[in-house]
Amino acid sequence: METKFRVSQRNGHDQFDLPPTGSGLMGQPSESDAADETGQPEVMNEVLGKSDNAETSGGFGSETDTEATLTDGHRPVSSPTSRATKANNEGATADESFAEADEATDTESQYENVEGWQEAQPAEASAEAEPVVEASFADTEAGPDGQEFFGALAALVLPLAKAVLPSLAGAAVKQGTKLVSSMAKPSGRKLSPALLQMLRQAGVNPTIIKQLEASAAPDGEASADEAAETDESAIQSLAQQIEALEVVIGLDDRVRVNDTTVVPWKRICHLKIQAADGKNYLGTGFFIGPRTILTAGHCVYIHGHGGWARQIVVTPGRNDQAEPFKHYTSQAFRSVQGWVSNKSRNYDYGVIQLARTDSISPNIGAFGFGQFPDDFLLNKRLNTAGYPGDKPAGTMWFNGRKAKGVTARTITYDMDTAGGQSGSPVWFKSPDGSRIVVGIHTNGATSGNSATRITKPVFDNLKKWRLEGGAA
Amino acid sequence: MGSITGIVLNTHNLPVEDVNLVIVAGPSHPDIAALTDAKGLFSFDNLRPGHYIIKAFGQVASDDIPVQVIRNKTPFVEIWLDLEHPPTGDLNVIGEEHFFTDDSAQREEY
Repeated sequence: METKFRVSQRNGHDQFDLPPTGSGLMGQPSESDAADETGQPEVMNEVLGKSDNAETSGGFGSETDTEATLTDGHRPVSSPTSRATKANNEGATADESFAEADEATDTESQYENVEGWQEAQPAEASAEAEPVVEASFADTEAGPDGQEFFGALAALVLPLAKAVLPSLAGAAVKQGTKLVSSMAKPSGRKLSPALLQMLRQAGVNPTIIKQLEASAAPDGEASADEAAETDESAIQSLAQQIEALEVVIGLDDRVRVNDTTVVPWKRICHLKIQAADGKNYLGTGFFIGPRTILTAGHCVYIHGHGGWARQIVVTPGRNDQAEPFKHYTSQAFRSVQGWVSNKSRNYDYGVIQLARTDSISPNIGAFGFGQFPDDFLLNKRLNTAGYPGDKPAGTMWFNGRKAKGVTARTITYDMDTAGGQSGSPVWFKSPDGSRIVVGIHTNGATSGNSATRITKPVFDNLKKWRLEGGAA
Repeated sequence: MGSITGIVLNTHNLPVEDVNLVIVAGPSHPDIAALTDAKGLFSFDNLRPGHYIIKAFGQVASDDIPVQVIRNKTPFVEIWLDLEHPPTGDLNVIGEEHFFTDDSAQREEY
């Protein structure tokens, strides 16, 4: 049965919004320190639980002694006891350079060994996807005049569809047929430069584009207005299809973690977040110290819902209804000015501090974390796991892949994630078995899901917060 | 930045609590899941203008729901979940049998 729904657009903010709150200085984050943030690697080693077998050395006292020179954006901000109203301003967007992954081979890093999971091909081209495309084409009725155009279009759309369709198995696939149909019907039209440009930008083979241009040469009968109108429609529709290429990218090859009581899974926490206005959200976090849980900034400070969360229930290693390490409720959070004051995605990180009175199992241990150069990150096999909201409640899911790109403050990848995985660790596993987090998953995006990168200022803040949270 | 707000109702127009709302496609967005409250309400914030697809996951999952976020507008999405008739799929199953009675074994064929 189809879901009944209705969408209506309303002016302005809804009735649930509260004025954002927060504290600390409200300066603009500096963008001038990007180079410093990705300098020499620094690493905080993983901390083993007391009962863990030694896979690596390390301990809470093994950090480097470099002290941070914090920028405004990375200036720490704590959840206050009294909250001040602040102006609602957008975060600065940095014009950052973007380093892409090449085919360089690494890498001594390893994926986690999770039953049922194996690395997918980078493009995640699905053997099953192509027949779906062909079936859609077969259902499309193109008029006789449209055959030539359609033939070229099919050749053009196929490479796009290979990438697009697997993730559009729901609504978008249905739309895909309409899209092809609508584009096929206006025969003999000249394609607009905008559409051609978009296809070039999408990486479509130039030969195919030339073929398409030739096949779509005007026959003099098609109305220019009609052609332009349909082109715009087609562009918009295709753009939407391409834009929808995200979150679960290609085939969904996430696998469930069945035993969450062992390393590293027991260090990953289910978060039930109650915003200041009472709204509830789900996220993920992970231990970086005895009482310190690292997560996304938007899990602890929720813009549009009163700022600092009212409380967060942290459940390490939750597995369905099982809570092998109990759960803890916290009201003490930390983030940075770049997120709290400026909503900048580049500063989207924060921590939850559990109370000294919480009896947290010493067996849990903590992830290590570190800052590394671009090339190093691009060559590593990255892992992530968290609690996606599209799966049975409280179940942990894993995925792994290499990064597809890095910027000064983010790491982009095609690892599959879904809402609820904000705050998940993105880590590599060294040959010696140690797990080092390099990013905090925060965003789903067309160009790839992404993490806030652990840069020097982030590293320094995390060091400070874990010390505050009881690390030696 | 824009928002998506909405409500999840059952087929009797009563609010449904603790339903996960997830953005399954759209422009870059915080990868957080929204939970409906006692009034069935949920919201996503800090969203760029653009086309999103959201989906509700409760006792049953909704279809994909397309929502457009426009600057200075807040789309309000009403979702009705049919909790009384969860989808069963097109399964045809003959159950396992551990033994057959003498009657069935000796049944004559016609």
